[in-house]
Amino acid sequence: MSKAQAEQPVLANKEAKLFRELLSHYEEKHLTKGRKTADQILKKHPNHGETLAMKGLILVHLGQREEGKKMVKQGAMLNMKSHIPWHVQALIHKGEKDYDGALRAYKNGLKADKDNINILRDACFLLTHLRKYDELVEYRHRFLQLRPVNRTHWIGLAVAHHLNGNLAEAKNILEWYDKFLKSTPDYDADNSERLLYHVRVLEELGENTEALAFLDKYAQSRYIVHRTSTMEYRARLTTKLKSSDAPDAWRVLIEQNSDCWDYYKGFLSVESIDYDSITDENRAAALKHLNNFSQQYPRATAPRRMALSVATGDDFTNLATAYLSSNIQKGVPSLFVDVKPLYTDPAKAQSIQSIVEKLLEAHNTPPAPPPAENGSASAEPTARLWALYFLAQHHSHLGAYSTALELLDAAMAHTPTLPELYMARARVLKRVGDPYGAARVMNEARLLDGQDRYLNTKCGKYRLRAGLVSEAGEVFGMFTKKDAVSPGADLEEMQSLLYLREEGDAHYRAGRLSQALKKYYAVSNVFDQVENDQYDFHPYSLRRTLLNVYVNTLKWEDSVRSHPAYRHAAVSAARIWVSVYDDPKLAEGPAASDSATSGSDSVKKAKSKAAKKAAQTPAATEKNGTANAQQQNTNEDKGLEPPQAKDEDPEGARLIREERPLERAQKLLAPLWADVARGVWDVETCAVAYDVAVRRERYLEAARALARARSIDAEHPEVHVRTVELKLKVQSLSAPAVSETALAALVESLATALPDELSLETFNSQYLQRHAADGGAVLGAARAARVLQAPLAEVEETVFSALQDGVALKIETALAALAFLRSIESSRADEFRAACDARFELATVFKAPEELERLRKESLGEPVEVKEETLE
Amino acid sequence: MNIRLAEPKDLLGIQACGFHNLPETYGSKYWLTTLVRWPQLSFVAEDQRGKIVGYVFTIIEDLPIIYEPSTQLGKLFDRWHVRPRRPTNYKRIGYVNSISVLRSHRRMGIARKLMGLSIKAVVESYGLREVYLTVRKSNRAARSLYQSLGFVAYDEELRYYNDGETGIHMKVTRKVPPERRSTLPLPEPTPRKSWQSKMIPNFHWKTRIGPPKPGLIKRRATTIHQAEWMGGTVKIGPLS
Repeated sequence: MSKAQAEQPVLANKEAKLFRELLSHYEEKHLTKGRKTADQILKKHPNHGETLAMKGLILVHLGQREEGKKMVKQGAMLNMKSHIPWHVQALIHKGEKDYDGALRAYKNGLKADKDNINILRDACFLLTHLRKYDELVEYRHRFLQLRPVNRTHWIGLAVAHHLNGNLAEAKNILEWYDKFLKSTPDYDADNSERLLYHVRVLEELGENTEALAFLDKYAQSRYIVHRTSTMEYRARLTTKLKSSDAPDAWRVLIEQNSDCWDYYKGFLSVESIDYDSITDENRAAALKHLNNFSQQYPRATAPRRMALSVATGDDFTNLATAYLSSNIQKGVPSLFVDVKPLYTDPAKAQSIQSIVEKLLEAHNTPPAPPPAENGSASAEPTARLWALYFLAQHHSHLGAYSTALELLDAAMAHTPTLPELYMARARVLKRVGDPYGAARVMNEARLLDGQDRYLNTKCGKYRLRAGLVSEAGEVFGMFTKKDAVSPGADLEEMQSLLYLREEGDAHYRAGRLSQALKKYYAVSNVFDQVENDQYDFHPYSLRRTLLNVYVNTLKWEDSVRSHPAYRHAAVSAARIWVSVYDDPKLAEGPAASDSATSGSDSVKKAKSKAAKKAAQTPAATEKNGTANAQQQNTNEDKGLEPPQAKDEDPEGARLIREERPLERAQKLLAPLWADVARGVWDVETCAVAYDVAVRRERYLEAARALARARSIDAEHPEVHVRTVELKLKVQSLSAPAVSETALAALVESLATALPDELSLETFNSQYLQRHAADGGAVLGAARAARVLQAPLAEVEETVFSALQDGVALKIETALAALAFLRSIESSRADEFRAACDARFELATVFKAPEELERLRKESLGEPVEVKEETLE
Repeated sequence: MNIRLAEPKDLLGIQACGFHNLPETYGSKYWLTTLVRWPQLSFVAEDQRGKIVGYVFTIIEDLPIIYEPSTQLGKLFDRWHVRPRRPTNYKRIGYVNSISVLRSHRRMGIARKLMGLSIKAVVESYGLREVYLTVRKSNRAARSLYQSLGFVAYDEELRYYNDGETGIHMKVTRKVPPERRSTLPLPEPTPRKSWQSKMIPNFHWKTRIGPPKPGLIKRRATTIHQAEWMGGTVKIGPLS
């Protein structure tokens, strides 16, 4: 190294000038000029590291990425004492979203030049992005010392302290800042946000009095202009201080926006009523307040709806009657979803049913309305319709599916053109296990209003649920961009989590593991993108002092992967990896032959056409490309981000054959560990985490995952099966494979759930006895018996016992049981299927394969006759 | 129904809500940008499980004024059938970028409430009098809602939307007390000389207000100018 350093040429005046020019060319993005200048210097000093690095950077911009990167590296090797090659390297890493690499390069750059402002600034952003807050504080401090006059640097340090948890220091700095800040224009929204941030810091510190004084001072003197936020702070602070202003503060807010539940909750909390846990003592008081508000704001729904949650008995009946009848008159489609949370109280559910039935009756006999109600007579027909709609949803929710379908039939006879009715019908069919019928009906709904994307999306979703993947694509394609490669590609680019998740599931159910995996990884990619989105805001928000929302963004990004879509994708993908690990043959899978089974011939044709087209275009572009390449390369700035590589593995066939499946699964699950602290784990997640850990021979991790699952639901069948599995595993483990301490810990962790003196067989049969009436548990016991290598007949018998009368068996569980029987190559699988078919009358999922094929075809449905009727 | 200020944590829900409801919409970065830049102006409606069922996103725009028919100069332009290519002036306005309520939650007046809050926020937080929006010509329901809120159609633009539909530009004017009006500087108008020589025929020309068309911009797009993002160009060399 030192040798290379010694050889580093010192540029003569002329070249030094050229080098400065090179830098300014780059800054102004005169790339070709820059390259020429660099070549000029290199002609004389071919080993000049800084120039080489700059030329490399320019080449990357011009699209010659690999060559450029090589040159930059070479430059850095030649001159390690200069910050320029490091800075250049960091820029390239950043462009490739390799933030760790960029930070490393910047740190090296700082070793070369510890006071380089540009590097320090960028390093701060990277540290924030990577959440290295202690270092961030240190860097911000140094930055501020170098440039104390810049306002942004003070704000940056304050925010760094805040993020690092040092609120007091953040407050000090904000106060300093306030002192030397001279005049700001009145009503500056950005400055107003800074002041609100100050209030937030004070509030988080618990200095409520100071916070309130600060807020009042600036709100009155034209500085804080964000009125909603100001009033919310005010209400919260006065409530905390138990000030007499508090009720009024909340009242002002309610007047501004009378549909915000938080404001009412806040108001009630001043009266020391906790809305979320109303007691019998304060029920009357709460109700009185809410009723007052209802009268005061006749258009607001929030106080009325909240009162329904609070009220009981006759109060409830009266309020609910008014609420339900007015909403049914208006024809509010979401009414049922709105009141559904009340159903946790069976008395309320019953009361709601009788109220709506009464309403229905009243509208059933339209003739001779009393004179007083003449005005509403015209509204009655639709009211009847919406009452029927409501009752259908009500019965569907309570499991009375045939009643629900009858009610919907009646409603459809009344008005055959309302898509909502079809949607409700489709939902009922979905619940009774008839995804094909559901898809058909949803398609009918879509045809009633082809312009509505909501119906379109629902239809596509239901088709995916019925396993009609390419047909779903056709429907989605009506609203996606026409020039996209496929509707799916556009939906993926637009980050539609719903689509990716449902299509992944559809592939998974059909056993096309590779394609499912591909979609689940696409979900994960969306979250990568969302995480990367925040980068630009580190410089931006600080400069504009939009701090509250910035800090909230950072917090949200920290936990963005606890979104259900991510969890579902990660868990499902991990399951696939586990099954591929257990049986590598799955990776070869039916993917190739089976991929188009669901497609009709025309779809296949279209597909092959598209494939041909896709095959042609690259060839064509290549031809043109070679001719134009030189010219394009010299002119265009392609930026630092690498161009999106073409996806050469659209069906995931290569992906699923990747090595080390368990490590990949682990990587997907890792972000979910962060949720543990928040306690939002479910048994499924723990179970799959266990599966991965035990196969990686991380037994302690496995035991921990299992213990967590047990703490959520100790009797869950997944937990039961795995407890048995782990016990067997522990018995087979010996000291050299696992350390003594680990083994001891394992045995201990199992001991509480599974006493040593109990044999595993007894443990299993006890479990079965305890939960003989629960289908899921019965299946769990059967699986455990299989793990214990019980005879096939016995396992089968256990599964069949789930079909006995009095056992609560859900359709999903029955499907899982059927899949289990098939997986153990049971000869009675078909018998089980037939038995399920008989048991679940309305369901079609248990039909024979030929029948299923027919149903699938049917579900695509021709345009319904209904439409013509309505036209007449 | 709970209506409140939008927060970053709502973004994925907002995106899903808009995406499954509207023919054209934006990627996640666009929403985040709008929300972070103008945190006062966006509101959401959520159901009791916290699912976003409706939202409104409003931004502040510096609307280039190219042509004011009421002025003397404007009348002259009209007579000659020409318009200048560059703006003569700017006007700061609120622009309702996107509003959407899920089909399943309509008829509850959510859109009206969201709009009302957002317009009010433009007036209160920014001291601006005018709020603009663009609506599909075929969307009668939305147009009548906007009209009932006081919006007036003032222009229409052929092929505004990607699928070729005409967009109708509407605006509403609210009262703002003079002492409350924004005093923040607007961009410098282009000097007169440069546009005077560059007149273009009237019939080829249409103003585009509002952000770029949805669907055209993807994740990377922003309403914020690139230079504003980074605070200027990337500097590498020795410090100035």
